[in-house]
Amino acid sequence: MAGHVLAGYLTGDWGMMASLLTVAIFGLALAPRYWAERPGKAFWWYPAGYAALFVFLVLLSGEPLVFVLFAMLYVALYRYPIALAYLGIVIFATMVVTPYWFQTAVLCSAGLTLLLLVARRAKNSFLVGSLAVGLILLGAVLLPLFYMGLQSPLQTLLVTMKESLFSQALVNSLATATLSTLLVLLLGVPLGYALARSDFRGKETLDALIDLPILVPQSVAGIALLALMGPKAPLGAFMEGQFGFKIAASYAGIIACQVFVSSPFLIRSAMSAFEQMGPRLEYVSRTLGAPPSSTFFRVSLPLAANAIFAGSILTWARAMSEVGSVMIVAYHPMTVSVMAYDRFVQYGLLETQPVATLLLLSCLWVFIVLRWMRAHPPRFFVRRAEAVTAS
Amino acid sequence: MMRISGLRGTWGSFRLRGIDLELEDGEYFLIVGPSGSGKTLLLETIAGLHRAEAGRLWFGEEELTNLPPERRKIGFVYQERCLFPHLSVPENIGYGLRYTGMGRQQAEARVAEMVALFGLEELAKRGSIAGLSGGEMQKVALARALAVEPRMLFLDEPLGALDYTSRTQVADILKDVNRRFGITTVHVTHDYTEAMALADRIGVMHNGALEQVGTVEEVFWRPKNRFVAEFLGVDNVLEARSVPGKDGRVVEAAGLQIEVARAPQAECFYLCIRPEDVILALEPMEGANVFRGEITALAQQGFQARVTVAVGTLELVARVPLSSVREANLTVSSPVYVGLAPESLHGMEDGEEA
Repeated sequence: MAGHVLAGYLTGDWGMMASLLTVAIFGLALAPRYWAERPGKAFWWYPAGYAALFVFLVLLSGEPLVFVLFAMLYVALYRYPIALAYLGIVIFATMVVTPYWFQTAVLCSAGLTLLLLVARRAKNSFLVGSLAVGLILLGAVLLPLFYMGLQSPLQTLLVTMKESLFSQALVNSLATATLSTLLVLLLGVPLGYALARSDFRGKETLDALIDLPILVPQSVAGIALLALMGPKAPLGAFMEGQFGFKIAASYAGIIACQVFVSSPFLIRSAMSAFEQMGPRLEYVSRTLGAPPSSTFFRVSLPLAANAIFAGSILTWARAMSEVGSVMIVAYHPMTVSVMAYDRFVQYGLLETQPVATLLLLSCLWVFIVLRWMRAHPPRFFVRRAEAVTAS
Repeated sequence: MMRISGLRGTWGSFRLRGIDLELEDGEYFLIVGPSGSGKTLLLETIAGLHRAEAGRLWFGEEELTNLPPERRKIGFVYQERCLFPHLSVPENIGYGLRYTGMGRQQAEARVAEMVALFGLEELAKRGSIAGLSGGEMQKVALARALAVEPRMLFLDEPLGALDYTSRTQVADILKDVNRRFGITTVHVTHDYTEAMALADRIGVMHNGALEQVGTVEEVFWRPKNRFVAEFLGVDNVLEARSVPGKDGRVVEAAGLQIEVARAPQAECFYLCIRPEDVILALEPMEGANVFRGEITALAQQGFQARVTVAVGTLELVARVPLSSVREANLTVSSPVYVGLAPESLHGMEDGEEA
């Protein structure tokens, strides 16, 4: 009480003092009820929280009006700890990370909701704790994207979208990423199958080589491709002279880069799907009279289809997002990812944001559609998926 | 007739060490052995799923050694049944028919025939195999294997992972399939009790080799070596020697003079007594080989009791119905009489661990 009066006095504002008094009286009026519900030590959390709020908002932040608002909510919501937690998030977001308060509050609240859902299902505090720690990582990924996504007004996005340069780049990106994925699918599935089913000396080395593109820096990948197939390289000159095929500044170049960087995802998922399946279903198929190729198409491939599809999504996403090597091999024709970089270098951050946002949204859209298709496969796949989970 | 000679090979930690075996047409042959002895591997190698380092295979006059599995026509049913999870019951059964050169209508008729034979009409209406019980899956797997009319049927632990009722049911089906189709059946298991109900002949496998092959009678009552004896549940293997001047009809083991029906060739050997053949009584009984002893241990095993009786320095294990133990009120340290029928004793020359 004394503190309130003092604070009111310090601001020299009688209205403020009256508001603070009202809150204090409200808080005191509810105190006997809270005491009746939980007498003893547990009760003292109530005034402690109130005091903490006062110290934080009035003494440290110097925002008595905000204090009045939040203290009112605090006093009223004290018996609802979940509501209090959300209130705490809002207070933290508005007072500490003020410029990003909206994004922070939304993400933190979503995280808290998730934690509460998990906690309700599993009475396992270690599990909830692990999730809480993990959510920090997820938040660090989401916050910048979420923040940027909300920066550009819809108007700007629409204008950017109508720009012919942008739409051309988007078409380039979508087309090359899709073609790359198909190419990887065509070559990677047989590789994955062969590796999963064979055993030979040096298999481990070959296995490790699959992951090499993840390790190689993108710029190195681009330089290596140019060194081999560039206009001045013998192979490049030969291919261009004989077949008119060149990778420098061409769609073929973009696809070459995308295939290079994105192949591990599909090969890995195909391979592990075939490995997990084990050879016995194939053995049975063979003893029933099916030759190896027929066995592959009638048994192994349908059963691995789901995992291969998941791998294709990752491969597609990786191809779509590739920029480092594409920039070196084929700056033009421009893909959206290169375009975002180009804008940034030429015009700076603000001008780039709409392009970046649109690229993010289109990638997300396709990604979500594909993921949804995986969870709800078209009718043709439905029985397969059911059967696989049942077995 | 199937003839296998000198089949050998190594696959990781598994190996086959020169398997020679002849399988008669239409017989039910059971291969029994501990886990890791190479039983499944043997079946898979005969079916052509692994490349052997050496050995040849004939089916009648036709040599199978270099044929791929799809041309050997050997039906294979795994313990996990390995139904194709993405296909329905009729699709599973009809899987192999397109390779037989059968027309579409013929194939459909064959599937319907197999469905009727195994009583799968209700399951055949479902869209997928999800939710089938172990016994049902076993029937579908059998129907699938038999639909393509194989020369032989290989069964890998067909009664494993089934509950008691399904076990007896599936065992009946297996025997019935063997008789009705007259198909040579090879059944692999680690449980020797399956042999009694099903097998015409059995082979005991150990470390990638067949230790002994013979009829059930031969292998169970006249084991060739200590491994076979112990694996097939002969709990009493006694070191023995012939007593001179008795035509070899009396032997001595652990200080006891025991009369035997068949005189062993060697002077020193091992005496095998199946625990089921050890007779227990409260009063001294008629006949040869009756000794007085005392119970030192009693263990309940299912509806049987494993009773250990000390006769002098010798410990004999008997397996008797639980009800008899209860009726006679046997407990540890009860005095009992032990009877050993001379016909049930077998002198085994090779007492070493194989």
